[in-house]
Amino acid sequence: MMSDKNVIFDIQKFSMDDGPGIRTIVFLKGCPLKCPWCANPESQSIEPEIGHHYTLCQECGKCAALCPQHAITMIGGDKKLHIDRDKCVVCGTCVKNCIYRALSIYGRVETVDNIYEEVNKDRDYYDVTGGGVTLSGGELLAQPDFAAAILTKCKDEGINTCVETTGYATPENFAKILPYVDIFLYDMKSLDDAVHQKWTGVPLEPILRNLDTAMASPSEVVIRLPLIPGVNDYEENLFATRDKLLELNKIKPVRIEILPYHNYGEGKYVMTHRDYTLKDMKRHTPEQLAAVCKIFEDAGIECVLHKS
Amino acid sequence: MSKIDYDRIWACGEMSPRLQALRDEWQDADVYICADPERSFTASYKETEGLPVSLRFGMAAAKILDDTKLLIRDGELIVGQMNDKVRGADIFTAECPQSVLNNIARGSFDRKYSETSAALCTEEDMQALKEGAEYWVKRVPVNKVNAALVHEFGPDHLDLMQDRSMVFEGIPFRADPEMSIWGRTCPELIGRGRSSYRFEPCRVGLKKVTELVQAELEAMDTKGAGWMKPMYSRPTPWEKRAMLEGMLIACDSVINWAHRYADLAEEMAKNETRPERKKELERIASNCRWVPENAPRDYWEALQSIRFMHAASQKEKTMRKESALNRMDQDLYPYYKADVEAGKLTPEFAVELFECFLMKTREVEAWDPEVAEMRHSQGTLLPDITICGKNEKGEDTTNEMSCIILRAMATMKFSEPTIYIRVNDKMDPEFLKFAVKANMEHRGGCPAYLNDYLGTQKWLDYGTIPEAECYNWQTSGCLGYHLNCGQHIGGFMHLNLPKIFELALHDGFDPRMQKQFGPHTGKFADMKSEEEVEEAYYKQLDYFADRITKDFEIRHSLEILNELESPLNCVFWYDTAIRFGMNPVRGGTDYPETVTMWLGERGTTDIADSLTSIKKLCFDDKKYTPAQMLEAIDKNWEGYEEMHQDCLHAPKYGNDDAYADDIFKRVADNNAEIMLKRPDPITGVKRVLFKGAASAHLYFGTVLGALPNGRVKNQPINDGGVSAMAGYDTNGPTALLNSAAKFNSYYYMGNVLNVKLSRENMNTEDKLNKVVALIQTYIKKGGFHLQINIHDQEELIDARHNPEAHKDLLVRVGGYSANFIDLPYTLQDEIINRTNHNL
Repeated sequence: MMSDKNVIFDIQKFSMDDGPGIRTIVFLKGCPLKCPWCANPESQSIEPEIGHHYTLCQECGKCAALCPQHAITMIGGDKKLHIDRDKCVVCGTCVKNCIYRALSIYGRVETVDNIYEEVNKDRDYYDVTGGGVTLSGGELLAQPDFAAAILTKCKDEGINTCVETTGYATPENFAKILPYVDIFLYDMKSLDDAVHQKWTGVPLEPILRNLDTAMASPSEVVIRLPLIPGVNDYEENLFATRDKLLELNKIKPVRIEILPYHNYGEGKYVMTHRDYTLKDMKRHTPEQLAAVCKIFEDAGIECVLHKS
Repeated sequence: MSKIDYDRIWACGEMSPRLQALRDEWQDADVYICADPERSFTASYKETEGLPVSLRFGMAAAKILDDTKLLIRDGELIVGQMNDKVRGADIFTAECPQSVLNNIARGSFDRKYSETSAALCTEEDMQALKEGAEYWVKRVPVNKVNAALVHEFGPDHLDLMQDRSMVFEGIPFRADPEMSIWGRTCPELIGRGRSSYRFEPCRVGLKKVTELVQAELEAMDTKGAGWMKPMYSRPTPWEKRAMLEGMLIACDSVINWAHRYADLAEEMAKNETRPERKKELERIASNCRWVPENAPRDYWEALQSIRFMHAASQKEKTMRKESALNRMDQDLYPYYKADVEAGKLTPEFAVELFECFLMKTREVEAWDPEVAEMRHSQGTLLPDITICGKNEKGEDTTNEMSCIILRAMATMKFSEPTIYIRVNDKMDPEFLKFAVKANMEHRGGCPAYLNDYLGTQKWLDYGTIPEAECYNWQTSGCLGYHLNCGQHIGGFMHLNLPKIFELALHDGFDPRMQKQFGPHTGKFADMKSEEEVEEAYYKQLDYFADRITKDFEIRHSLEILNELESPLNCVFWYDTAIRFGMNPVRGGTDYPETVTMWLGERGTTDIADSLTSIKKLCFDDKKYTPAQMLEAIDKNWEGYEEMHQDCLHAPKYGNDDAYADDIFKRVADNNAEIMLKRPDPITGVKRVLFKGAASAHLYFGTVLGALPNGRVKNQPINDGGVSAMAGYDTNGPTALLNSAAKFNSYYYMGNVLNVKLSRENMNTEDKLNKVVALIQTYIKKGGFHLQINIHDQEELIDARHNPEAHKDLLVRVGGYSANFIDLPYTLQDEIINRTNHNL
């Protein structure tokens, strides 16, 4: 019945930043958006792909010699080797034969039961801290049936559920997960459709529509603003976001979380042989961040600044 | 004032200019080796030939105190220096003359393994040490212990000792008498200062103790000693009299020492032009005039009294000056409360006084003989402070003093003492949050969190100790625990479990010594399952556990006869020592079951991970045969790079992965069962196991070849307790805690779990609460001892290369804190490699 590929790329324990309490995050692979600041570039494609941990690589050349597709070339320098992604069929030969564990596959097919079993191991910590599971990505709504199945299982077993989402999905797919989500961490990157399309590659409208649906549901909603210098940190957008928050708060209490831009993910661009286009981007100063928060706080909106 | 004002105490976090100046001067001071105690001690011994050891030792210790030079540093409010240097290590050579002569021959008292600067020693002091050592080295008697052991088990028994194969590790296990340390050289000749500090004599005052001793002496005169049946369980009258006289000498010497400080302070006050300081000096003089002779009248006097008594117990120790400070929040609270309620003391000043006390405690330096250097970092004296804990009524005893102690420690950021918190379910979460904040500010894994319930239950289960006493326990040494009513002396015997495992892989043969030590338990190459390998290891362990127990019977019998004759120790335990006429460690105690054998072990993680590799690679995946694996480890992986990597990347304990954890739990539980099979050979009660966690894991590694967990030859084994293999617990702290909690802590004391968190894990109130929950949950799940290190990897790497810029950086190694830059490079690298749980 499920048509999804059921691909995740990581399960991360002891998360303190994505939802209340101590949480376990399940990262689903695949995302329809193409945000250049993305901190998880390996999450973007739903297809499995080879990652090259260049710091561990000893440049022995074994992988290049054994690759049946001849997709690997030893190039030396910092990157050490190149993988021709068009030729690579992710057969895993190189991964299996790398004795230094410098090659890995991002993305694995996983069953709901296995995921639940892993999530359930930290139940004691959820119970004391009000934590639970958080589905993240990628975009979990790219695998709506799979996401719904994980959420259903966890919720049925009494584990608090949270999703970190762009909100970009058809109403039908959004409706699949809605009843099983306790908390939405809902991205609001820009309220200007042109800007949104330019940077993320998708229109704003479906996102706002699904937000309305979430607001009409019993789920808790938290708005998240990834604050990207020069993209959405100008006053006009911040004021628009503030006004949107004020509007939402008329329906039910909604706070905003500011996620300052950071480049921790840059290494993973190298590892998956992607270009990081924001190389010269400067991170916000604490003063700038405080000023952003003040816009919301002055309007009486609860605002949480994430530290990066 | 039952309600704790957390915010007010926390706000006392700014170091006062007084403490800043004292701390800076100390930080920059050179470490000196001081030979004054050598002169006093040896001179006294030359004059007391023929007297009972207890009296001789007492007289020599008193002479050390009488001759001690004084120093009152500008600004300090608590006084009582070891000598006249800011950082001076007192030594006397009687217990390890050869080691001293070796250092003199090398031309310096360097710190061989830590590669930091050598301690300084004046020409004159060097000469005095040389003369003393030459006197003592000629008097090293025949090693009675080894003679008895060879008689019982044959000469091969000595091959098990630390300086040979190191199947047995610990202070006393030396085949070569010259390598003996800590008084094992000639105990019957000099006795041994091993007094354990206790607050009790401070509370009543030494005058009171003196009166009680005199009354007992008088009773002996008027009624006789009453040496009746059973005669041999009692001291002879002259032994008892000598002990009582020794106690009088000890009391007098500490009182005189304090009075000399009073004189000095008075004189300094006269010449002091700054009115504020003049007042302080007058107060110091009055404190020293009054305590420890009399019962303290207020908080300041109580602290000063503790300082004198604790320092006196350190003064009489040759090299290592180990002595725990016990439950200081309970001891001090009545004075603090009364003073605050009377309006005589503010919490702010109470914090500053406590900081002054910590400064004094930290100033004490020690120098370890070369054979001990690798076991622990230099200058680690373990003056543990224990706080909080439930009482027999089930109430948590946390008080404002508990917070003051944590606040002062976080501000001063010393590597010692470590503060141990007895965490229980009645504890206010606000207090734990306060502790985590202090932990974060201090950074060096202090405070440590202990399971109060388990700690008490172990004593209750003896069934012979009154309930109230069982609740009154505290830490001592590196991960030892003792009741306030009973002295703990064990904790120095360890089995080198990975060594025993290595023997099991080689059919009882030690590849390093090229000798058969263990029984034949089968060839690894012929084994058909992981269980078979495990079984061979258990048989080896059973053999050596039996042997170490029999060894202990002889060793401890001779020690009871010959050692531990410090009259000051009888002062600390005056309540029972006078009544029994015996030093508590020789039987002058109501609860001999607390003076029982502690059998330590280290290396369960290495064995479990090795068995996991074997199971995975040899028997499940069948990628290698046992013969191939044996060949690879015997060749230290040379030519076996792929197998080495496969072993390193096999499943590892600490990731909440049943494949590895099940083996860990089984090995740990079976270890306990085998080692507990035999009771304590002296008392017959169930003995105590502990996973001592001092950095002896470095030492253990030096006798070991490669292991199937991927470890290479001679590298350190994993640090103590239930920590995971460094760098291989990649699943975060909850997974590590879950793995550790699967293991049954009940039979062990001192099974520490080191968790590393970064500052980012606790940079908001909300996250602090989560860390509190992490601690509570681990304890609730049955974990015994948790330590949280806080720092980031970059900082450590920088400290590795630019130590001068990181003098303040503390880290937690096993059971205690140390200055990072003072650690051996191998240990520095290990800590850097340890997973940084920064998500």
